[in-house]
Amino acid sequence: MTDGMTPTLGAFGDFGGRYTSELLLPALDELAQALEDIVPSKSFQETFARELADWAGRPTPITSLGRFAEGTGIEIWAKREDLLHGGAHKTNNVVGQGLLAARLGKTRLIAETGAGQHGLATASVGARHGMETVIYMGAVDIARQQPNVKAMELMGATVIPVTGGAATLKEAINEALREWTASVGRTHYLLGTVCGPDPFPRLVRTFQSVIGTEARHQFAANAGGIPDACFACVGGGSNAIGLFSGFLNDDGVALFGAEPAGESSTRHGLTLSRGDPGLLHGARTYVLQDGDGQILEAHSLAAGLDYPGVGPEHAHLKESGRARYLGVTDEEALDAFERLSRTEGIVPAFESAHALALARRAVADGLVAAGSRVLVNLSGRGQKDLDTYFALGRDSESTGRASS
Amino acid sequence: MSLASLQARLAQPDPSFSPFFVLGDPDPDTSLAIAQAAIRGGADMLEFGLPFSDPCADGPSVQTACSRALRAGMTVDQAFEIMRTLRSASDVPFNLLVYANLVHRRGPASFVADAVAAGASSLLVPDVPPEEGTELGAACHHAGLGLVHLAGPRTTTDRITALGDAATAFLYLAGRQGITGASEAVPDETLHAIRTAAAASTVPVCVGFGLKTRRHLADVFRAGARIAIVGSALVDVLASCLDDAGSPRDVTALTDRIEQEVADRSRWSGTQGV
Repeated sequence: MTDGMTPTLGAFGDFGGRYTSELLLPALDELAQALEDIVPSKSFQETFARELADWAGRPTPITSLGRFAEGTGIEIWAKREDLLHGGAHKTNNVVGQGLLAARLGKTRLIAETGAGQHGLATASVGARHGMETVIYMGAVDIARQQPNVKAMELMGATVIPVTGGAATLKEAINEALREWTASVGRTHYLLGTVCGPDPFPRLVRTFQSVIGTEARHQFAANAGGIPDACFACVGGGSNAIGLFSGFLNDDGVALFGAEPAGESSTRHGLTLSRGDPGLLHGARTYVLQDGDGQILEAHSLAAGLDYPGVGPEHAHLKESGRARYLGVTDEEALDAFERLSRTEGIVPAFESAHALALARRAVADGLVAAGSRVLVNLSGRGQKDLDTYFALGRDSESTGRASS
Repeated sequence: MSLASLQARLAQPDPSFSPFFVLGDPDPDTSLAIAQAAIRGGADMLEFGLPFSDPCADGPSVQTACSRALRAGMTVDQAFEIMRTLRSASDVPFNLLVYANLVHRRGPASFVADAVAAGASSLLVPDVPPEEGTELGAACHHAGLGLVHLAGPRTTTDRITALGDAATAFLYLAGRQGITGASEAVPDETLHAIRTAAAASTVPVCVGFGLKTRRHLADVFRAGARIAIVGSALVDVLASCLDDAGSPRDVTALTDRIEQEVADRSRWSGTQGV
């Protein structure tokens, strides 16, 4: 390109980088050094593995979804991150970063949260380490997620309302970055996804790669060989990177990300499908933006997918053609949510339901051949979404619709 | 014009005071009138922020100012139009503070060319450190636009020297570690950082973030700053003149007030010790 800006530090192709204030660079340098020196060390890896096993409940199994897959023409297996402590894959990352923060001598954790899952996970690991924990959460999200706010406070965290802009996840990240700039030194910013300035996308990927590593072994043992394709939902994209990382070097494994198509062509979170390259929260990646470069609001029924950016590695996987990203509407996700509940007795998170819905239409869309065996990341459980679901009134009108 | 007007100003013996405003706050017409008032008040330089949806380096006052400007429909083209209008009547240097995505969207060469055409003397992109700023630096060099880099009180001496070498206009020292808007006395840590930066930097040192009063300015000038910027405090004055809907209650009263606030902090010639 003749008139572009491309990253130098921690780049995934033309994406990633450290587009942050000079004032944050020392903290990012420290973290990048820790990723090189501390994370790969035997003592860190042993402690991390033990904590994941004894406190968080790893390994999570993979489950064959025979009844759910009926009529699709493919065999569907699910990686059960919904069974992890805390109810979602978010726990892998907070266990790793919590340990790293302790090794770096930090005494305070800050984090952003949208619907509250990452806030809950951070609060739990803060309690586990006895660290002061402060969660930044949009005022709008606080109002609609009161049980999560109360649970964070139960575990000793302080929840700070963020009132700027749309008062949701994007603003919570802005505020956490500001607070980190002011308090850097004893504070670790425990970023919840594979976004943000380098080294966060690499760091979070490292801690989430346990999903793909486990799933690869489990698939070989239980189903035999490797899957023909992997499916995961993509908001920031950490559960997808976690699963994909186990299969990136297998050319025979197709990788598909499910983005939120929301409720209409103007209210969605199709960052990779409809956005353009831009700079958001410290990285060059795909973003939803207007002609001047002002960041737009994203929309999804699934709060965890409601983000106008995406991890830079996904931008690179899209550009390189290694992974493909497709939209799944709120309606399709709700159908998959109901269908998995009724056919397998598993209530998935709205986010994970996007990946399940894409897998169900994979043959019809020409993504995989009939007879394929696919692996879906069931990234979280759906209890957090029940109030929203029941408020839609679908439970009374639609009894039995998914069993046909 | 451009960089030369800034360098001429910085070559004078007395230091420079610069107010900061978000262009388009609270609306494009009033914003132009406010900048004209600041020039009448004797500002040595003007720093303009382009409103951005996600101003991560700014405190609440400037965040709200960005929201007001965007709600009033402010665009990058309109911001350049305001600057062109001001430039036609004044040679006061303009430093432009722009978040990286607005530069990225146009492409650095196009953005910088437009900024120079609008009369900008220098450019600070707070979320592009030198390591990620190769294309931006080349574009500024090519167009003759001064480049400003940010440093903090805890930035090492070696790093300050490197940042000063990478900058062509001045080094912008954040008055305290963190966001804009603080109002206490200038901390000793900051004054020490100014002295250190002034000694280590090859370009003049500018202090922004957290300065409010004439006393603050005297302190930072005495420590070696060549430019002092007051942002949030003036934006707060602006905001105090708006009604609940964010519109000025009385534009003339607002611009008179801004002119007075700027005049109260200007006129440093020969009397730095006030």
